[in-house]
Amino acid sequence: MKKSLSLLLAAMLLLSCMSLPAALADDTVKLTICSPDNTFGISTDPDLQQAVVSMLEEACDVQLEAIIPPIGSYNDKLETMMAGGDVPDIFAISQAMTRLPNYVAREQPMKLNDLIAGSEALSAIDSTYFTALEIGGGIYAIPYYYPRVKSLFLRKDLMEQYDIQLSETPTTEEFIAELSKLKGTGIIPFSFPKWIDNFQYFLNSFGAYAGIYKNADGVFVDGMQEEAMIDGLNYLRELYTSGVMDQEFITTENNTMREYVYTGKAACDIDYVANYSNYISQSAAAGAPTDVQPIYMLVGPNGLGGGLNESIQTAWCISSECKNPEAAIRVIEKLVTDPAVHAAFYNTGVEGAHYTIENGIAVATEKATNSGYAIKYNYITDSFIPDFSTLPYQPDETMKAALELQRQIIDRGMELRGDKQMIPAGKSDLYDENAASITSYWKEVISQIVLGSVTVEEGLKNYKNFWDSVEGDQILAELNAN
Amino acid sequence: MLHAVSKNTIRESGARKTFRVFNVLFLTLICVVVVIPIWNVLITSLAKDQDVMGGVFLIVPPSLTFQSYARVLHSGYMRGFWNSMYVALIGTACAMTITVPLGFALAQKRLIARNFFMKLVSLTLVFDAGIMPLYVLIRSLGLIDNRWSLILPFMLSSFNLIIVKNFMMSIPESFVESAWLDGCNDLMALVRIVIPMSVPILAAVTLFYFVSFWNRYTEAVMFINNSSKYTLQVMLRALIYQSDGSLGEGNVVYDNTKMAVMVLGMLPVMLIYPFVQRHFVSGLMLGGVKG
Repeated sequence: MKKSLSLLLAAMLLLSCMSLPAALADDTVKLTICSPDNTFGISTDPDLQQAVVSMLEEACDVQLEAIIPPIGSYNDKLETMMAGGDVPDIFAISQAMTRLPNYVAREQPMKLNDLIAGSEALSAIDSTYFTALEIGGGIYAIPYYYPRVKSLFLRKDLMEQYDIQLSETPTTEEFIAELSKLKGTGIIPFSFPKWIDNFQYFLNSFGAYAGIYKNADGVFVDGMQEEAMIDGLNYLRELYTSGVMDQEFITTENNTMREYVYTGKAACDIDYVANYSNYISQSAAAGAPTDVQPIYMLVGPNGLGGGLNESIQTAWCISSECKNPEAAIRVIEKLVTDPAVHAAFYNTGVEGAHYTIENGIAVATEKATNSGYAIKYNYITDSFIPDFSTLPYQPDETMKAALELQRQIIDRGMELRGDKQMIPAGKSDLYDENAASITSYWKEVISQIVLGSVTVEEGLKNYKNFWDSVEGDQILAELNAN
Repeated sequence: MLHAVSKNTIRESGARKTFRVFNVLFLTLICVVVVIPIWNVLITSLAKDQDVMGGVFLIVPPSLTFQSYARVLHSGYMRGFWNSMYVALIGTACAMTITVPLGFALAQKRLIARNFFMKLVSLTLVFDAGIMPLYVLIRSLGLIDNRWSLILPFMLSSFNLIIVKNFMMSIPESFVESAWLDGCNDLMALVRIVIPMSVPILAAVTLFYFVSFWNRYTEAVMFINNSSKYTLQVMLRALIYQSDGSLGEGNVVYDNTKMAVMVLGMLPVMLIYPFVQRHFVSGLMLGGVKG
């Protein structure tokens, strides 16, 4: 028995020694990368996603295990992996301003200051984009596009037809008065999605801010309990009761809202300034072609206003447990700064798999089209990369013109964007514990007020009771003390 | 003769007639409420792109084309379909292999500590550990990114086990005893006597298991990393969300394509149901009566 056991052990030892040189020879760096399925060439087809992964592997000289969850479940998946101890080496975060502070407090992303300094391409990006997500002097996330700003888009054909006189920065009163001209026509004057955060666009016109923020004096205050909020909420209620806002907004998805405007079923909606060109192409596809006018902000009674600033919402992180951060930063550098890789990853995919090139124009392959893929050129206006002229395909003249206009709209939107603040994590344990419920509660109160379930006074009173129950004043005291 | 029949017929009171009319109307209404969404899915899947834009709710077909189905059948969604089929078929087979003998064993009054085992089973009906402990368990078993992670943890449903056990308890003991007298052991008695007598409940439970494996979503997202192993439900949800990406850079996927994938998702259950329907109600009724 002992003899057999010894022989077995010896054989196993021999086998491991034989396999050692092979293992040593395989020096390809292996990394896991996790990003939702609105990346990797924007296709849910696994073969097409794999084509993008292969391209990325080749460009970065690494072996990648890609985890591509559906965008609707991305955060749940990422957080489950994190809690289970499976943090991917490279991962994208969404809603970065809310989530990053929590991740940093849990020491999940790596501090990237030195790695960024060591990368010529990443260092060349305007540092203000990095500092938007800075926490205690540390950079933990690398953004890959400009801050997101939303404005209103109004169909120009309906403006002409119904004599709607609105500038790009009208007053709050003008907005209601002019869009009221559409009442009784069967057209929804203003389509709005169910996402309550978007109401901040209108609150900006009254100097109100939903949530905790640092005021002009550098003091953290609760925007829901400030005087300006009452005026803002009254205006939102008026938008609804006047019939200007879609009466069914509370169940309206983003794509439905957009389709209402594409088809002319609604005149106006709220969307990212970088989506301007979609309105041109999709309204044509819907058989109701039109141009749309951006309304960057509504000027309130005191001359205040601003577009909806969502700041940097998505960015790349490297796990604090990543064994090869140099390789990981190389992958991120390619994704953020290399024109071919960036375009393939965020929009167009890979030649031969997603598209073929005909006379310098990219044409979607049949397989890609069947999965819902369509060629998009948003990367041209969204990314930090100034020049994509090296790519072998270019948009057609109509799209080029729309994108040129889109770039101007983005610039103007950025100029007129409202405030957006990130509350640092780790300053107040009480805040860290209650941040999600505070946000959820103010959203609930605002939706109740707009829908008329409670009056503004009742809603704010309910909010105050909630605020007291989570020791809100103590939260502010802790945030202001540190 | 006719007169005699008429004489013996029980005359319905006015109130009963009203009740019957109300019943028919009420049940028709419920049927309509159930059928309308399915009809809408079907009609939308057969409409052209232009006819489905703008959040329309179609009841009457504005156009009739199979372009969405042609797209779906030649797309990556078919891989999701086959992945779902793999998980559902193997999962159901494994689940039935475990549930039936266990139900039979628990139905035997001579089983030592039967009540204790039943209490253990019932406990899991009340307490659910949630996704995190399950994730950690799957990870410890090395099953992350393995299709078996969608099968192994769900191979036994306490609810299904209890109804199978209850049904088997309703089979007279004398049948099993006769089998023993004829030289059968427990396994043979189960296979030759009990299973043939339990077809209604087995048909119902098979359908339950199949549907539960077929529709599993959260676990497929959490435990599977490689998108080529995603089930159809994951791909369907991805498709629905893709054109509503909160960042706005998703594709524009029209509702007709989404609905065609939905039809694909409903198809297996809709095909299986008619075959087991006649056993379905009787199986459930019989399984539910004895505790």
